[in-house]
Amino acid sequence: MNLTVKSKQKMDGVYMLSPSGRLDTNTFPILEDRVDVVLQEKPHTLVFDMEMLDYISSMGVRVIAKAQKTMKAYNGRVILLNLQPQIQKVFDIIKALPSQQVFSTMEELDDYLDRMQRQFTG
Amino acid sequence: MEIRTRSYFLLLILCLLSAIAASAADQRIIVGLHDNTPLIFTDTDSRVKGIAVDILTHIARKEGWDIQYRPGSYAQCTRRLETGAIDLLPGMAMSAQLEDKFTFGKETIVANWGQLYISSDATFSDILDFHEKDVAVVEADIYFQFFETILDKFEIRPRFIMVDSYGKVLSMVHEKTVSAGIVPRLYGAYYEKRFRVRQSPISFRPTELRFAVAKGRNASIVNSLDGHLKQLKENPNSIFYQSLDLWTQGVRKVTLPLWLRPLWVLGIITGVMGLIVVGNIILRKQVKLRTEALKTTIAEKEKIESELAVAREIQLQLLPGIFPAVPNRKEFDIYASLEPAREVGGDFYDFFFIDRNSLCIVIGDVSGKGVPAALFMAMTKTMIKAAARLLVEPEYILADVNREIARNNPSLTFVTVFLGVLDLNSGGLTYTCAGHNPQLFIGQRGNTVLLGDAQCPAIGLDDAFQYRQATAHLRHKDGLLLFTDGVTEAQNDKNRLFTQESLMNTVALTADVTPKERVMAILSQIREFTGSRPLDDDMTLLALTYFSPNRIGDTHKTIVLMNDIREMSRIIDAITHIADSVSCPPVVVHDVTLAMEEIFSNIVFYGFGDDLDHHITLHLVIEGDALILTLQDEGIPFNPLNVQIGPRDKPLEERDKGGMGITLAKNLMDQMEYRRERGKNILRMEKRYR
Repeated sequence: MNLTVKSKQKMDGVYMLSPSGRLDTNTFPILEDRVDVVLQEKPHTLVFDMEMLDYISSMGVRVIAKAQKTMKAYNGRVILLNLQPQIQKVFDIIKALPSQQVFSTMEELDDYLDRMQRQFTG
Repeated sequence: MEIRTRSYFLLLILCLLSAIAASAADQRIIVGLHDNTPLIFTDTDSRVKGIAVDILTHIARKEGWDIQYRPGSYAQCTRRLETGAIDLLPGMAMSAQLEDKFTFGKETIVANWGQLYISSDATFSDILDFHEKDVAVVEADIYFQFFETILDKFEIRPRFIMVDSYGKVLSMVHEKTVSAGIVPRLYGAYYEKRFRVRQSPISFRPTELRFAVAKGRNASIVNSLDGHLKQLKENPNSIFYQSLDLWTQGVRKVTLPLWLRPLWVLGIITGVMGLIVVGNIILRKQVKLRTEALKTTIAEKEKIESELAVAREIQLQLLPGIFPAVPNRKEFDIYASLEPAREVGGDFYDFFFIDRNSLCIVIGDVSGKGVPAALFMAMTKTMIKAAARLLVEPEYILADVNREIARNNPSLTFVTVFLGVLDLNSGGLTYTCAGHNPQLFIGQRGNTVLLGDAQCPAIGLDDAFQYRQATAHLRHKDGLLLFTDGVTEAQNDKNRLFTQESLMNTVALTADVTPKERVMAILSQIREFTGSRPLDDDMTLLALTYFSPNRIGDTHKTIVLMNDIREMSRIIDAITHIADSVSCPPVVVHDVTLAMEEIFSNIVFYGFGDDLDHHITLHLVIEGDALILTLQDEGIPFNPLNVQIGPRDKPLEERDKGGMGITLAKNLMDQMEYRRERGKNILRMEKRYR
């Protein structure tokens, strides 16, 4: 059981990280390192696409919380995408996920980003 | 010709007969109706009423007359009577000149006279005062004519205001547009309340109102009327006087039945009220007395009940009542239930270790019920436990207890006991049945066998009784069911017994369940059988399932881990293995794994406070429908259940992160228990998978 992370720049200032496998006490540093790299670019939005994530422990939640804290300092946003039921359950128990931060499909996210884009440019 | 004459004659007779028959059946009498309230008049409901009408109706019923009224003015009526257009006129004032034309009845219906009315608040001093005052009159009225003539003689000349009805006269008097008015006294009596006028002392020209017919006609009618009137006048309760009362006492007056007369009503009401008051006082006194008596009784009863409740609590505390009873021993699972018929009862059960591998199980029933039986039960139970520790073999244990009790038992109370000793290594069972009904051996598929050997006498009757024992062998997942006769002899409303056969049938349906579930199933079956009927006898059940140590590995695993987070993979393997053996759903495996990771990582990172190597033990076991994980470590005393997550309304990044993992674990598992024992943190976690 391991964790792999793909990252890409979705548009200007919007980065997406896609962890795959298990995000647990052993594997969380892999994601944490990638987050640190991306955050150096100061993105205004960081999307975690959880579609391929099977498992998350509290250490995994911390990585996301840490990214959120860093970005909040300059009004950046963390967005979660495609939460599997078992992942959703973990966030539900901790009850710390504002609903506007979660999107269930890529289309929903794209719509949101479009609107954000117009706000910034217009 | 002759025949024809005859037939004419017959026809004539027939006509005559029918005419006679008709007249005999119903003699029609047409009565003149002029408004002369209250003698005869048409009321607002357009029905003909009055004194004369009441009398006529009464007489007509007796005589078989058919009365028909023909309305008209007084003048019209007299003319019609003269011409024969009407047969009878009631209430004609008798006078000499009229007797030429009419025949009057001999009996007066009622006497009438003229009456001067004044307003109810006016004062009347003298008739002389009426000179040149306004007085309302009806022009054609005989009383007015008489009055005018008289006054004229005294040269008193009021201004007479002519109106066309007596009603108008009284209404003018009431409105004070005139000083006084003249009406007949009967009319005045009937209406004075309605018009709120009153009689002056002036009355004049008395007349006798009688029935009148035309001279030479209908004399028989007048005669009949006279006859009846005479009779009616002789009887003070007759319709004549009732009618007179009714019509001369005013328009608002309603004749009430005797029991409704005001005085009577008042009397009755007073009487009833008096009765109520007296009854109330008596009742209150009684209620007070009874309430006090009841209070005393209730207080006494409550005292006894509270004492019995305490006794029951003590009695139940004597029995091992916490289940699972010995969770660290995987060789058996046990469950027991005692339901006393009264507050306290004579049944008991017990189980305890004689040595590390020998489990003693006991069930007993003291003869009798209630407090005495409960006391005897407590003594017996204690003695058995004491004897078992020393003597080990069932036959010796019970022989010893029997000797002790029988030596000093003047009441001859006895106890039936089944006592077994189970070797947890081999599954060998040694048992003695002292006067108790044979108990049940339960095979893995729910099949039952009676443990009927080693039947010995009950304990307590004779110290010379001999006891012996028999053996049986329990294989993996075989079980025992111990019970008292309260179970097999539980009765329903029709006094039928539950029976041993029903018990065995119920047990047969409980293959592959835990002892607790087996006992619950039997109890619910018995409750269904007995329905609403309360228990007649104590009802006790003890169920045990044996697990052979050689076979326990299937659902029982212990791994020893290092304090290294990489050991998580071994934990995951162990969870997956044991979960597969009972087909746990994947979501359960996920939750248990995640909870274990949170707890285990917590111990690894914070549990020891040094960098040395430590061992952490994990037991995994399936118990019933639950997966039980027990973690033991020798680290710093730490109860994770006391850890609170940071305020939940705060954003995630501002939380106290230490509590997050433990909160996750607590929520993912169904139950978590922590205890510190012999320098170890012991955390038991339970997750149901079905």
